[in-house]
Amino acid sequence: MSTESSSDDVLISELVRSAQRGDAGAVEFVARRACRLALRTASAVLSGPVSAADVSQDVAVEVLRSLDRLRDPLAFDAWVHRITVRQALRAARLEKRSVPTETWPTRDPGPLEGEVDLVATVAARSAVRVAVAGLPARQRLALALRYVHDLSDVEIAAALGCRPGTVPALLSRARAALRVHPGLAEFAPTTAGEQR
Amino acid sequence: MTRNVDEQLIRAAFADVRALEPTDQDVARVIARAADTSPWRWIRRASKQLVDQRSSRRRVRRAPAGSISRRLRSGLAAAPAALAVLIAVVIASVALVVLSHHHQAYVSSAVPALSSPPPYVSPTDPAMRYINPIFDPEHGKQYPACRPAPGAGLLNRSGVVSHAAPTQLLAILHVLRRHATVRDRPPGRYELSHLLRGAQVIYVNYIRLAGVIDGVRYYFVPEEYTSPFGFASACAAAEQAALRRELPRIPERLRAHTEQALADLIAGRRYESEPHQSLEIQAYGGGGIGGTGAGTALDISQQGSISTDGNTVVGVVPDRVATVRLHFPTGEHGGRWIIVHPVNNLFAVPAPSQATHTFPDRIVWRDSRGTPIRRLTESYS
Repeated sequence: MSTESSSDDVLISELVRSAQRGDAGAVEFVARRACRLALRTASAVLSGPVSAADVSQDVAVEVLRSLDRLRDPLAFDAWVHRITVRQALRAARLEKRSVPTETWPTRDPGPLEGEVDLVATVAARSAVRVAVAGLPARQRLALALRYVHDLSDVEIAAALGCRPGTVPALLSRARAALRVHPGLAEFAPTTAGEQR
Repeated sequence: MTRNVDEQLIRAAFADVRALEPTDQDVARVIARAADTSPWRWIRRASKQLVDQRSSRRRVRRAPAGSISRRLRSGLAAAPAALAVLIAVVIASVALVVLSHHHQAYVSSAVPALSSPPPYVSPTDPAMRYINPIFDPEHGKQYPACRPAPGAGLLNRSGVVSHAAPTQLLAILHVLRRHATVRDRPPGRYELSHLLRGAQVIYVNYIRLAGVIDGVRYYFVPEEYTSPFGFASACAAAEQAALRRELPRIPERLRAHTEQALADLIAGRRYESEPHQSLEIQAYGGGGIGGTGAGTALDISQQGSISTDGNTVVGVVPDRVATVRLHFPTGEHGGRWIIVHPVNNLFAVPAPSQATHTFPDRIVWRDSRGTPIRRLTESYS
């Protein structure tokens, strides 16, 4: 269940082959795509935009440097996800040892589909992101790959380097932890707001 | 929460992440980095092609990517200009050092021990109905002891650098207790002299970057502050006498409480007349530099601080506050509760754009277990 259709996959693999042959435009496409995939994953997993941007650039540099070794260009996205997972886990370990000094922008990017029942979109986003930040790094990565990239269990397993059967358990544990998180209890559909 | 609600919430939380795109500069940086470090010739070739394309497209002068001798020749051609820039930078640095030198002094000791902070009296406390008229300036003029002394209200901004620890602020703001990093240094020496112009004492070793919100960096700058109004015991005695005269008109059940509230408020004034630590928030970015006083350590511990630049409402809360609920009376947030989770004692929400009041009229602090710690009302804004 990838975000790209199969025709897009073929186009991507063609561009990856062109990049491997040294086509400048294709190299730019590959760099941009690797950067985009990694930026979205890292932004969902790490605690600040600066560290996410750092990880995305490191991933894209590694992708470009290793592009000659990619045997199957059709598997480009999966390969980028694997590199991103490795780099994001490393960054998450470093983050754990330091005190965060950056926060995510709180500006509301606009209404979201299916969010009408929530008390306040800004508050809900903020609360979920805070709750997700408290999960173990692998659970955060599983959530990001599922809810940011819409990957299937098999694709997530390939990125995380685990068996496909492990992915539902990771996701289930992450959702269960969020369900009992005190910060999210306020967003139960029946909560109308603070009453003095 | 059902599983559907779980997924709906998570998807909603990641909606902005799903739309993230790297900037052109990021992509260019990635290609340049890969070209610098890659063993593969094709990346260097592609990188050079891209640079050439961009140079011709944008007519931007860039450094030539040629042989060492070509680089050396172009470097020598640019040497006089580089030397001139270097000399200008050195002169400017020396001038700044000289200009800011007279501000600096070393304060070796921490501030003297203070009296205990008095209990907090909420502006909505029922006793305030009877105390406010006594504090009314017109009322105060009746008592010679409460007339302001000549020169009262003028701040002494001596601009002293202190390397001591701001112990009162450290006790309530965990962000100041963490180790300093390079990111905590305000940009440039000029900024320190700029900060000193508006303060009495600055604790330079405890300036911390509390957060980056919408590209604006918010620094916490611990300072020392002494109220320019002083404290007059005779005035306090006159106010207490005035309240005693009002006691027959105060409901009996409130009399003792009102006397105690006045005593607490007077104790607060005495506390404020002593030198104590306060926090300044300096914001860099978003097109400028701005600063706002967040209040004394006592103010922050009792009611936090809130300010706005029109786009963002920024608040400071003491340790223990895990959630802040804000109620805006008007605007797009009007009538709803916005919930934010402070990071590094700092929180921010978008300011309501079409509102008559930019500040919230009600604020509730909660701890990590969700228990309300403090409720603040409209007098706060």
